[in-house]
Amino acid sequence: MPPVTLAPHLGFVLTILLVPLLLFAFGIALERGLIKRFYDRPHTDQILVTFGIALVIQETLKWIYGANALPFPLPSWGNGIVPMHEYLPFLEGFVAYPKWRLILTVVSFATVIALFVLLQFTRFGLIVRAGMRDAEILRFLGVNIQRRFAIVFGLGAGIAGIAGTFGGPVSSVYPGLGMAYLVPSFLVVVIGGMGSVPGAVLAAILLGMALSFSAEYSAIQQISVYLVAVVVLLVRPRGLLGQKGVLE
Amino acid sequence: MSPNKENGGRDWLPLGIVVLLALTLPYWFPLIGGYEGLDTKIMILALFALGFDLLLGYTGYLSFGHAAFFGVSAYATGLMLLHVTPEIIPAMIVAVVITVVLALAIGFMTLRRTGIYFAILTLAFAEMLYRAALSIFSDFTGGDNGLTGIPTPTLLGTPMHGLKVYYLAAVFAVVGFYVARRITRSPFGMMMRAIKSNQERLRYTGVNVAGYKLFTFVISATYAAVAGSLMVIYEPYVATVFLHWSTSGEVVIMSVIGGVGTLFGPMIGAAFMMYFENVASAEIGEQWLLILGLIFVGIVVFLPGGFVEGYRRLHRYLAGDRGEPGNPGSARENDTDRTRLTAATGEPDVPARHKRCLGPLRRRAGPAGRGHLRHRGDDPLHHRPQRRRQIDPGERHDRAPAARPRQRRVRRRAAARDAAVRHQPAGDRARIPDAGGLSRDVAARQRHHRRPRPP
Repeated sequence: MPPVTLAPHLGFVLTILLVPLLLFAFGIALERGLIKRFYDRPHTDQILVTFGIALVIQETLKWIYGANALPFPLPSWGNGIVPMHEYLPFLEGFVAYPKWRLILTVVSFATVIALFVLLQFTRFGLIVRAGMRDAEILRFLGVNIQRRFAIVFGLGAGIAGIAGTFGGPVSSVYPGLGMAYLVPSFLVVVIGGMGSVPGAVLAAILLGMALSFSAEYSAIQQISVYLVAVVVLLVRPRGLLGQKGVLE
Repeated sequence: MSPNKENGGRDWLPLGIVVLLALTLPYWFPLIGGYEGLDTKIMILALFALGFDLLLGYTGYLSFGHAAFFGVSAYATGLMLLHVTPEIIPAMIVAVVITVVLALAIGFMTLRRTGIYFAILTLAFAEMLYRAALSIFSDFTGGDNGLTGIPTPTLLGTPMHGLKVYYLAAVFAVVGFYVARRITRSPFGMMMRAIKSNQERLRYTGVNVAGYKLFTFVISATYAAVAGSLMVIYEPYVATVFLHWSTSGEVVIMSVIGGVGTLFGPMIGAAFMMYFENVASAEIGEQWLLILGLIFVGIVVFLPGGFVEGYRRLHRYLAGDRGEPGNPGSARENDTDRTRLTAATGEPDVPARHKRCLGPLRRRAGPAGRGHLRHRGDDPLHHRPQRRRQIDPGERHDRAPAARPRQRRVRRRAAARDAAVRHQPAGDRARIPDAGGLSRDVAARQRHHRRPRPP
């Protein structure tokens, strides 16, 4: 939503930079103010409070912007179609593709890779991954795990900001957008296995494939995502690449 | 044995209130702005929330897919009324049977997981059914329009509308409340609470945990089924939203603001939510859902016991117990068994043993309560035994050992042990120096408390 108001004034490029930062700050404030009280409470309480926050944010947006979808035009440099079949003539059936979707794909991959590197190959990532396993031990070792958790929560919000800014023009922008994406993205995380970035990518691809391949039979297209989710979780209850001990 | 037998007459208070409310609601409800029919809706959703509370409040499983049972039952009832007979009894029976079969299937698959995984799995099943109703089965369900054209339902030939539907729903709500109370106080209810507090340990004691969980899930789904069925009888139309996840979200909100694990709370929560949604929203305007969301978050954060907990705190405050520290959230986590047991039954969570001590104190102190107590530690309500290291077995474990010269302790050992053992109330003993002292009826009591057979 905010990108829609910001973009005409600041230009799209500045918006792309600003929105994730704003949401990062918002995420940290939220974590410090509210979520941190819930680390000691049962998981059900955590779900409840985040569900409540989502509801409050959605209704606030509805209050400010109205319930109707807002137009979110593409920036001028993002318009147009890339004739993929001319660049890659050896691939059969490769067609012209909207430029914005290519940009979206590139940005998405870049973000995922950056996140993976951050979590897997830096000291910060090491501490966070250890904190997922046993925050208490880390605290005894003198690590300020609370600060790391706040940053991770902020990162989550910031990345959601990136997704929203780039994805906004593709889907329409309305207050219920968050809830509409909440369930599928939650499914992606759970199917991939909590605490695993590659797992999330794998799950996202799997769900996307399921959606696309069932497109021919429109009746079951909507169900396919949930069907895949249920089958995966019944066969591999921790998700595709989930590890033992995370969030249990 | 009922856990609050000592509470005597007050035990029947919540049931009495529910009966009274259910009987008189249609007469005074319009006075506070409720329109005709909203009272029926309140009764139906109270029943739905009641069943949900059996699952969330007692076994601790947060289902985000209860709309599945509500909606499927509503569709089944609607189809029965439309195609078979407008008589409600067969329609309800068929709807409940179908829902129970569905709950067995879904429960069997989802109950192996806990916490977030369980919530997501139930949500996925419910969404799947919702999408299926809109696409695959749209020939039967009417797709996006919902199921329309249902004739006025009849009960043994009498057309059901207005007050008749209300009293039908009210009877179900009251009976449902009574049954739920009986369930939670039975040995089965004890098993439900045990599942909530530590499933793993329960399994290691040889209990068929999966069976208990599945049975609870099915009971909960049955409540949802009856509610969904009544919804169609109340208004002969099946909306697609009955299957949508927002219905699941609504029942979660109702239960939480009312007070999870209290049975009475979720019913109040349902009434509050319906009233808020339909009456108060006219005053507030567009932002009613925002305010409801804020109330919800506020209750989750500050008052995890919901309205019922709020009432109890107020009651305690008015009774003069001002010093009660801590928040109920942490108390709930820490001394699960005792607090849970009492919280579940509407008794203020002061252990009976302490209450007995409180009598004489109160009398001595006068109406001001415990102003005369010098230390917190003197106060029986604040008695929190803390385990100390015992140098010898006869020493008290709940109080710091008195400072005294070392040599003398050795000499006084035997006397100290005897004194300590004699003065401690039963159950407070850390170690029993002489096991032969156990009375014979301990064994008899244990036999009496043997766990029930799994269903």
